[in-house]
Amino acid sequence: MSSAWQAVWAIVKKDILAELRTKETLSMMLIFVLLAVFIFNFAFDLRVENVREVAPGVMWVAFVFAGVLGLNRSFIQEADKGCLDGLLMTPVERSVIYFGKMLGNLIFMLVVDAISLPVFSVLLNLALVRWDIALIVVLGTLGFAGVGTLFSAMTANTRAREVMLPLLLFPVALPLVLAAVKATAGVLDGAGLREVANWLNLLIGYDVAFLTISYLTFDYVVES
Amino acid sequence: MERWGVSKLAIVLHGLAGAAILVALYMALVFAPTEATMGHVQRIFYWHVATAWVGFFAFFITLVASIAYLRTGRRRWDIVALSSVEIGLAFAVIMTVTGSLWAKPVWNTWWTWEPRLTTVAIMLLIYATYLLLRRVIEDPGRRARFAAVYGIAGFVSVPITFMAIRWWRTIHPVIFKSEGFDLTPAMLAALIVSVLAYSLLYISLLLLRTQLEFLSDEVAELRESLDE
Amino acid sequence: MTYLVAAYAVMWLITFIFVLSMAIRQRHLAAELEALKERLQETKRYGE
Repeated sequence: MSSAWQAVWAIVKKDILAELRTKETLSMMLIFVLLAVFIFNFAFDLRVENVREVAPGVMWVAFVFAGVLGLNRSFIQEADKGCLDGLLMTPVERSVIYFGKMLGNLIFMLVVDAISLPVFSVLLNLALVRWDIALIVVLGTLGFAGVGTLFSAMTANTRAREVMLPLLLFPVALPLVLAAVKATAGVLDGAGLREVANWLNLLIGYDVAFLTISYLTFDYVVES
Repeated sequence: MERWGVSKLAIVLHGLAGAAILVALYMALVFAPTEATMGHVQRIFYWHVATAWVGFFAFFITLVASIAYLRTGRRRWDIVALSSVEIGLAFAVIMTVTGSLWAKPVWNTWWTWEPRLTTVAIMLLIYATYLLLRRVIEDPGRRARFAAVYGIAGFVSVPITFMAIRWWRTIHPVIFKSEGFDLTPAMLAALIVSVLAYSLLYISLLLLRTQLEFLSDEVAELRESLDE
Repeated sequence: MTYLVAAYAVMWLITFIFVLSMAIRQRHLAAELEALKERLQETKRYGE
């Protein structure tokens, strides 16, 4: 059991160290999130009256699009540099590779989210840095990284791969995004976590379902 | 007909299904009583619900076939999964369009973003993407495997769609509640006949579509061996 | 009620298109199969 966790941690460490060297992916994701907020600002004319209504949606759309960017680069880099083949030749269970890559993706996304929230608070003039919103962000990002890692491993080897990932991922992830937006909106409107429990339950159920499915099927997606 | 790759059983079953549909249509259009508030447009309900349930069932069959394919690697399961998605999608589109045609006179709108319709739209997107995914993968083994994984992941949307009218507040009619259902015996009979008829149609279409795919495999194999 | 008629028509139309496209494809495949089988016979004959 502990050797599996060591393997998982080794994969996560490798991804983090590789990213720390160039910081390419993280900076791209961050810039993208900021760009998204700017564009929405002009598209919706985010004056004070509108902001509270539109903010949860804007926030989650920005997170989701930046997330796809990170996911894409994660496996395409591996596929292009042949790292994936190297990884597959080691005697680790495929599911270990899944958790390793998934945790790596999750950490990158959470870092971007954590940096974005205070920036959004300033830009939208809303208090977004709170523990209940942080909880929703973690739950939502967990599910998104969970199923996104599985699909990005799939699409890294298909034609039109950058387009295929969002096409596959967005419809499947929509219930997750919907629940996250509704929960965030409820909490921003002053509801306690108990009042948005329905949406939180949907988030948690979704996370469990997709982490399980991804763990069980990852094998079939990376074997050549 | 055997040498043409389509079995007599499939053709006969398809004919039977056609007859069953005609019976179901008689039940829906003539036998069933006219509903009090909505009038004749309510009759859409019979094949709207029938295609809905059979459509969901088709996607369930895809789930089972996808799991079976991953475990056995046998092409026949991949063929069943693909065929069931195509048929399920056709039925789901019929369900959506007939629902929309019912909604216009009753809700005064073709579409609204309420829970049932939203989850249906997601489900349609997912299974359309299933077909697209198959097109962008060239290697047949990989295509079957990836499609199977997506067929499993995509099915999560189906129970959510089915339960949407029970989990959330919605203007979509809820006929079957835990306390009972709002149908007279004659209406229930028409609905049951419709569901049975469309199920028979599904089975016959599944047989025909899978046999077509097997034929396609045979032709491809022969073409390859001759071109060597 | 025109909506009822339209709903009836849509159901028939989609089912019909589905079956028709299958039938057309089946016709083509069957013809190709026959042609390929003939080629197979020919190559066998010349092989002897």
